Amino acid sequence: MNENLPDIDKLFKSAIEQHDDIPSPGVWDSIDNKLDKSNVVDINKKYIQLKRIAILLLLLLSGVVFYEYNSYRNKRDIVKNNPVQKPRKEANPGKPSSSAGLDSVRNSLSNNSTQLPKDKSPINDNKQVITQNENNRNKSGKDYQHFKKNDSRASEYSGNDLPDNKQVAVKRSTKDYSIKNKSANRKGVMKVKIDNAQPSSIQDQDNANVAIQKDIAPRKYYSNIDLMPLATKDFDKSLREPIKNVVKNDRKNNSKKTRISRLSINPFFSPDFAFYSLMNDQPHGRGDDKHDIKKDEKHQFSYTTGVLADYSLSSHLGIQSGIAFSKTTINSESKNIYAERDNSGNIKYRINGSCGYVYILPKSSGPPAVGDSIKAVSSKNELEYIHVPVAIKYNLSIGKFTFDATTGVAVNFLTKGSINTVVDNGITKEAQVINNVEGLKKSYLDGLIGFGAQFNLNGKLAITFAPTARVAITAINSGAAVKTYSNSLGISAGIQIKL
Amino acid sequence: MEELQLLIHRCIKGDRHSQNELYKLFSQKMFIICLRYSPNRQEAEDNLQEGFLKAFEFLHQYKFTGSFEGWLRKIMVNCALQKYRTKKDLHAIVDIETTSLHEIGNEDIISQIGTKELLRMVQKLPNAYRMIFNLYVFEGMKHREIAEELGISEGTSKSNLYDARIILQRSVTKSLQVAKQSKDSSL
Repeated sequence: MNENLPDIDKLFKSAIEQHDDIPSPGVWDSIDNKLDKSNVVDINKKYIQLKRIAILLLLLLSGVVFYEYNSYRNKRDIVKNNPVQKPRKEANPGKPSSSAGLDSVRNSLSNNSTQLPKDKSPINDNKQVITQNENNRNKSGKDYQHFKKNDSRASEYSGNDLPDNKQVAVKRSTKDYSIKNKSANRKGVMKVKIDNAQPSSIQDQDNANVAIQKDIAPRKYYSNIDLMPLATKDFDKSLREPIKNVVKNDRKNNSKKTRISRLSINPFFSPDFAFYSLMNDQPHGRGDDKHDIKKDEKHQFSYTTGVLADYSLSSHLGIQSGIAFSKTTINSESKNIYAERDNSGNIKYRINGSCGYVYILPKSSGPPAVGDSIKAVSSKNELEYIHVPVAIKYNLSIGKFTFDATTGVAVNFLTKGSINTVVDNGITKEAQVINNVEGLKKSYLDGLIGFGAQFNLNGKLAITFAPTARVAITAINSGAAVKTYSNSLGISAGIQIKL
Repeated sequence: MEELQLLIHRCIKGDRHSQNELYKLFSQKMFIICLRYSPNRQEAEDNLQEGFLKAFEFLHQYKFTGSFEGWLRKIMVNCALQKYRTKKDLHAIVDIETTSLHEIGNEDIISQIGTKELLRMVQKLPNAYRMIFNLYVFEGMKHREIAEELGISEGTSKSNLYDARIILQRSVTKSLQVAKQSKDSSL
């Protein structure tokens, strides 16, 4: 080796280090221009969260608008398919006026009731079953007139005969009556059934209306029955009590039926492909740049598992919530870590990662000075979260398959954040586990969007399969070298159980 | 010192005039660093510009605990390294012939050749050699650290430094010979 080589180092160092040079004035001009641009970028970054929230709200709003529009369209279709006939003009000769109609109904009932054996109660006879809305039970004749006015169909029933083996259904305002008459003339007893399930929703009511209209008898028979006296004042106590029981039982059954069709739970497991989006936040020193961190880290197997509950708002729309547990593992390649003062002023080696940073002080090495380095042979970062989503779901059933699209938000609560590392001081290797990753936030928010398919095995069980993307709305950390937004693409598989 | 702190605080608030003042205060010292790491003046100015932009962006993270010049210098070096990483060429093949500089002292060489010429010699080094020479001689880094910083082995770092020194030695000898000849001819 040439003996003069170290002198060369000194020669250049002493000559160049003390030398200054003036850059061209264009440099500052470029800096000046770019500083203006960076301010604009900062403003963009500043409002990025608001933009994300705005997009999410827009999605939710679109869902609500879509739901409302869908409901409106269903109602319109029902009305279209079942047009309400206009009441006949009272002045029409040969047709009874409304009061005359009422009288004729009453008369016809009295005529009809004469056909019933007086000594035989309809209930005791066990052939008359009446169900009616409690709210209607106390309706008076005035209500009936009101009904006659409001429900044009009532005036349509102007005939005098009530045929055998006919089902007669009557809709009274928003309350429903269906009257089944089986062999009234033949057996001398009129069988009546008044179904009175209180509609639990507008749609149910509409469905009920459709059912009534389908089953409705020719309207000319309607006026032959005076329902009101039967339903209100003419029933004695012995009749009313069984009615109450019937009503109660019917309500219970109906409410059970309602619950059955609306709620379902879905235990699932989803292997996730997790990827982080990094932004420089507070770089501290060497290796703090987002590119360096990203280059060093590799995501390992991640997963989410839990139970989701679906509640159907309508045949197509529903809301989804539940609870899930997710675990993400990130491995870091071998890298040098440097000593610096920690938050309490002690000099320790700092390990930076996308999630945050930790300070370690290996027992095998002596107290370091600021700037000393040691090799972290490997590092494993584990993050565990409890995930609570709230989402809107749109379903579409085709045969045994149901396809759905889901969008919503989820709050993720940190349950564990740890870094396992092995450091090599040149002589020995030492493992360190740190369970308190600095910079990690206790919770963060993400948005989710998914498309799924389910195969209905039977009325209660279905196999579900749903690719779901989760996009971070807020960062998982703050005050670290980089700001990290956790995104993932998962393919969940589960079983849906309808309750 | 307090003036510098006030200036930095004003720069953090985004005062363009203060930013210009800070630039004027340190641009010359930082420019020489950029020149050392760059093959030409143009690239050095690009590095300087990028370095100051980063410095203004992360100025709020400066803790006022160490030298501000040192902090700024680190940014400039990192910018140069980042640029180097994007266009790595570690395996420069250079014809090296060893020469000797026994007869003459460093001060005489500087006076005869001039600092600008010495700087030009460093700039003319192949990229990898120039990086390693700068990191070793001017930043005081060890071969292990250089190897990790540049993603090479320690052996490569050592051999590249050796080659860089040889090239510089040869360049200095040649320059001295030229200087001597011109001096003789003038006499």
